[in-house]
Amino acid sequence: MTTTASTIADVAPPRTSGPLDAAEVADAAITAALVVGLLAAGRVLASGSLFQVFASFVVAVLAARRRTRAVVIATCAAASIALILGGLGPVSQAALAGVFGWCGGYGLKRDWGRLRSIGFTLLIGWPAMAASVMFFYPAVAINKRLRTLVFDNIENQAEGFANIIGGVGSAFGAIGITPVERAANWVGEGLISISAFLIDNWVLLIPATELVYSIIYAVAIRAVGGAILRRLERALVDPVALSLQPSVDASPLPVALTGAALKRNGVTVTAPIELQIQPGEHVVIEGPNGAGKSTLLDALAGIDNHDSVVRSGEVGLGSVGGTARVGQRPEAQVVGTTVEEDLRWGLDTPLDVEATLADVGLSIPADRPTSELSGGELQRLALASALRRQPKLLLADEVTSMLDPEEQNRITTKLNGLTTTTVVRTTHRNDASPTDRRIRLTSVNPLPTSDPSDPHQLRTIHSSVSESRLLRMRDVGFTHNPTQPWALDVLTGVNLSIHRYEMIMIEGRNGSGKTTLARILAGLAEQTAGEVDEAKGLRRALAHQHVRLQLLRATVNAELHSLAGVRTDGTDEVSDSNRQRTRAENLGTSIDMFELGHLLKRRIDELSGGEQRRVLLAGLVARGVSLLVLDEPLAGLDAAGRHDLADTLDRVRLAGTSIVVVSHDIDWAPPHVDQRLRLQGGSLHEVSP
Amino acid sequence: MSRAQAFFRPVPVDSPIHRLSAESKVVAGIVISIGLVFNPQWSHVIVAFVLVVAVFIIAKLPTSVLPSVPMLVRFALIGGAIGATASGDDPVVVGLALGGLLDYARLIMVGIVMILWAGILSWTTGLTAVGFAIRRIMRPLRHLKLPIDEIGSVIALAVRSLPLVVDEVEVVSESVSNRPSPADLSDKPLREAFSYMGDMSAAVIVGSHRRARDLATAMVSRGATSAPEPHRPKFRKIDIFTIVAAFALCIAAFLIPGWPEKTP
Repeated sequence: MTTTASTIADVAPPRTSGPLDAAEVADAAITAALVVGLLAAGRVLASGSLFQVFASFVVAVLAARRRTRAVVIATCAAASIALILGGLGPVSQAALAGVFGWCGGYGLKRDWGRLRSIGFTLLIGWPAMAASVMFFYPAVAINKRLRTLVFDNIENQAEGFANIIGGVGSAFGAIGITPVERAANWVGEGLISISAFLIDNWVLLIPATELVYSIIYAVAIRAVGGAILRRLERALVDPVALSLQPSVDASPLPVALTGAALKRNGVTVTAPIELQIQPGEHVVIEGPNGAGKSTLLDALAGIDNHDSVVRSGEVGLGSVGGTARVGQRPEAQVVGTTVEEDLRWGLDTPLDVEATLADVGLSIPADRPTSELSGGELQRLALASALRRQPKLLLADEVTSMLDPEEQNRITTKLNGLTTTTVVRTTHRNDASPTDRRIRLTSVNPLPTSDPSDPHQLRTIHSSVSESRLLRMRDVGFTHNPTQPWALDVLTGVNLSIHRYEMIMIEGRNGSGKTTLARILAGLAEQTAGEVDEAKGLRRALAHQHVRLQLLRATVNAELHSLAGVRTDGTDEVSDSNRQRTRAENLGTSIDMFELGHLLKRRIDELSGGEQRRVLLAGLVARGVSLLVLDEPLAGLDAAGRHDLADTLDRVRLAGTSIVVVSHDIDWAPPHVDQRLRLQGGSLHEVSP
Repeated sequence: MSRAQAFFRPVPVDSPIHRLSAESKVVAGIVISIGLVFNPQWSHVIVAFVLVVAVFIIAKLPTSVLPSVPMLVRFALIGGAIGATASGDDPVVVGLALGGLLDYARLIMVGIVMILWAGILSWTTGLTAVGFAIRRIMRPLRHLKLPIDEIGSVIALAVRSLPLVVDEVEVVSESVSNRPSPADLSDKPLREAFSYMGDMSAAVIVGSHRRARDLATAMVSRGATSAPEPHRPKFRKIDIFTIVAAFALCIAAFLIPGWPEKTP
């Protein structure tokens, strides 16, 4: 294994001026969306100012990682959206999140000390905040009429409540309890004089209050923003630079790798590779997970490792007659919200949707939202977009992993039949044809294999449920937004019983009400019709598709303790209660069962997706969850991932927890499933095995 | 389906307001709000209120689209009304002093008008269309050398990611409320709660930055950072009329002092 010093070009944003590149646009857009989402959530929920502080963390992270230009543009975008959705108030909130976030993030980027950073934030943030409150919020300073209205109302409220309190006081006085009368008068007068003081001195009071708020902001951003940033660094999401490389006359071939080792996120992942690809070749790259197959394809696409690749002309990624790339996780390849929009993205020429889709064996309506497609459909849609560009070079990364064998063969044959296109693809199946050129990569950083050699011991976690039937649903129905015009019946008559140790698989198309059913099963939503009877003491939980969102703490150990409800500090002193001790025992058992012992010190973000899921399920099992619902656990998993999932589910079951797997993927079910059901037309149907 | 998705969903009926182009709806809403905030006299508030209710009816929106008011807010509103009435300001009607209550009603109505404009826009216009509308409205600003195209692409991308992002925030907060309170698990509850908040924010931000990176890679692979422009309804006479009328109302709000100058 050779390690060379990491080249800055791959990880650091190289631009210092000029328009935003694609990566900056995407970061700015997601930041703007988060800011608006948080401000909206703050309006609906009571703790609005908390969410506003949170919004400024989000901007601070952007500011610490990207150019000021990206922060300004993201703030403008958030403010514009806020203006349309909520009027002038949210605009000033969005602008403030932008200003404070930028100041805090700038200090973090420059590695300033705490005092300097907080001082800088106050210097810029406080005047901005005071100005925004005075000018925008009720537009009070410049607009005397609105000011009068607001102040009159404050005065009225004070007088009104003073009158009420005074009235109650004089009633007491009338029956001879004079101290109460005196106290009431005193409170009433106090109210009036406070409001008068506020109104008379608003010019000074508003900036003074805002100074207090500004200090809270500055300190919080410094403390929490820094922590978040450190987490991001470890989460291996470096701010990459991604520029569009359009070209009318692309010439991506021949292309050569000059013998350098390829890196991802600054870490060397391949041995030195020397390789030349000529026009017309069909290349299959093989190798185990983590051998750098995707990194090699990204290098050929001109996304990464620019210094290691030599080609004759421009790469023309995404251009007609240039290079086309389809990456691995299907849901990350699709950008449009509908099928047609996705096909048109970046190539807005006349389009026959039906024929284009038929070419890859798809027949779905053009206006179908892409969020409703299955993994296999997404893969073929992304491939259709790539083929539409008639590329000279097609880079396909495991593009058939979610298809059934028949479709896999069809697509592979189709790719092999391309004559004007050079195809470079990766596969973990042994499906290279004899004419293909095969390149085998070996892993330079072999992953530790955690193949369980000894059979799992059956060590049931102490359960609080004594009945054998955990849950029974009778004629359960659910209507979305029942009183609203877009009311939608998703479930009409669901009957289901779940017993201990059972594993049930529920399949259904997207939009069939699977997620709603999962939420009802997990106790997160309530049915609008029918009955759900649960066993006494039953604890239920839902594991989401994106497990990462449910893991909140930084390390595996802290996360497991938090999930299981066990203290991490001074266990001996505080585990005096029986409950604590049982919980701690359960956690120990669970860590053994899920073989997490060697991972305890690791950070959550260093784990693979499968390991993250194992941590979540282990924690939930340790907490005594007897019914576990998994929503779409199969999405984006390759064969190895499925094998790993099946293994994890077996462990969950051995712990005595029943499982319901909800999935839109009807091609695969974990082994040992007791019952397979299909959700169709709002109710469940038996699937014959 | 999350609350956010329900809010950004057009009501599936056909009406003149639905057919109006997104640009004219956005411009009219903003312009009229500015006029109202500048001069919130009774005459102006009533005109704006009648107008927004009329538009609501023309849009064939059922009253069931209106979001329910949270209990806490209801109590606050009622409490405010009681306080304002008790202030005993003129005019006195049938022995009740209504001056304070009237001022209070005026302030609340200004708020309702603003919320309704935003609501009507979201109930009659698709999310993508709004994103593109903002972009086109800001296009003239390009001549000031402002990076309008970049802001426009970012707005369009942000608007379409909004439901997903809000869902993510919901998943995280659900996950928080479903586990034992961090304060129970430590002898330093405040410190624990603070670190918990940092971890929670990190979970959301790490997740969204991953999403941003996927999005960027996918966009680069397609060779474009903005969506293809959708077929939009043609800009018709009624659109021009709407925008002119909105500006006329706004200018009138600035020029006409309004009645009464101060509630007696």
